[in-house]
Amino acid sequence: MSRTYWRSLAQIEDRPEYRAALEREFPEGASELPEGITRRDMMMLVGASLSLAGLTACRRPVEEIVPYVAPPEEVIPGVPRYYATTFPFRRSAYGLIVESR
Amino acid sequence: MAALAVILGPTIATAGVWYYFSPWYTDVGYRPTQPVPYSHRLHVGELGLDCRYCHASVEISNIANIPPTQTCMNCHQTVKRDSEALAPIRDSAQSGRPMRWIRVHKLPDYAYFTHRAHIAGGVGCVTCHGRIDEMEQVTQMMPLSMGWCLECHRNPNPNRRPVSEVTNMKWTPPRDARLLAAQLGGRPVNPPTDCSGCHR
Repeated sequence: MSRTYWRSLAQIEDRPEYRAALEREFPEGASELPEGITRRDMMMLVGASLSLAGLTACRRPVEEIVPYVAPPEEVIPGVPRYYATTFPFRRSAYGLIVESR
Repeated sequence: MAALAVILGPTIATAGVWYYFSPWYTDVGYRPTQPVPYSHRLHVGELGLDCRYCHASVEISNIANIPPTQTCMNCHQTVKRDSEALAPIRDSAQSGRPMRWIRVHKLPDYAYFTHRAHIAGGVGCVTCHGRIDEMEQVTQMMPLSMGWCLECHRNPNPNRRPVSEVTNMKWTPPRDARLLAAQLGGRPVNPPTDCSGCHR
């Protein structure tokens, strides 16, 4: 005769609460809290807030345009200015055209 | 019933994305509140200021500048001197701190655009910006999307006008196509339609 293994006294005696525990997939509180918000609901809400948080990036960024108070002469916004200058290097001076945006 | 749902569901989803994800929905109608409630309807529509009085660089630069505070004060140091709404302008002129206007029309940085070429080609302000002379607050009227740009780049002539009329908000093309062609002048425009034309 093979041995009969048991895990709890309730199993040997085949009590009704052991029967009830067999019916459940998980012990009480392991999968769902006995009351209030359940673990699965929690995951659902966290997931939803995470995915909806991406939508906030859809809002148009507000960009400011800050013009001069008193524009300097000869400055045209968007048109670069060029200056002729020299760049001393080693024993020479190099002629340069400098672009200033 | 199930077959109907299978057909209708994707159709509605596609139509929804087509419209609600497009700049016609997301960008058109953008109307931020500016620090000073400057009314284009009053200044342009009623007083008849030319666009280029304030946006002076539009013909010679990539960008149409937002006027410096001084441009406002040219008139408003004598006109409406005590206006409550103009207080930020006066503060700016006195303190030297610039105005911080909110940008309405925004092209992405990866798209090259220059106002100069469009003005020289005879594209009116109203074509892209709408009836600014009727706006109390500036509102974006066109999607400024790539497809929208390309529509005109592929066939520019319906949106062209004589260069002298670019800032005219009420200009309508003459009925006679030949007359319009004569007004536009002989040289055809050749807007780029290849990628590197704008994404350079």
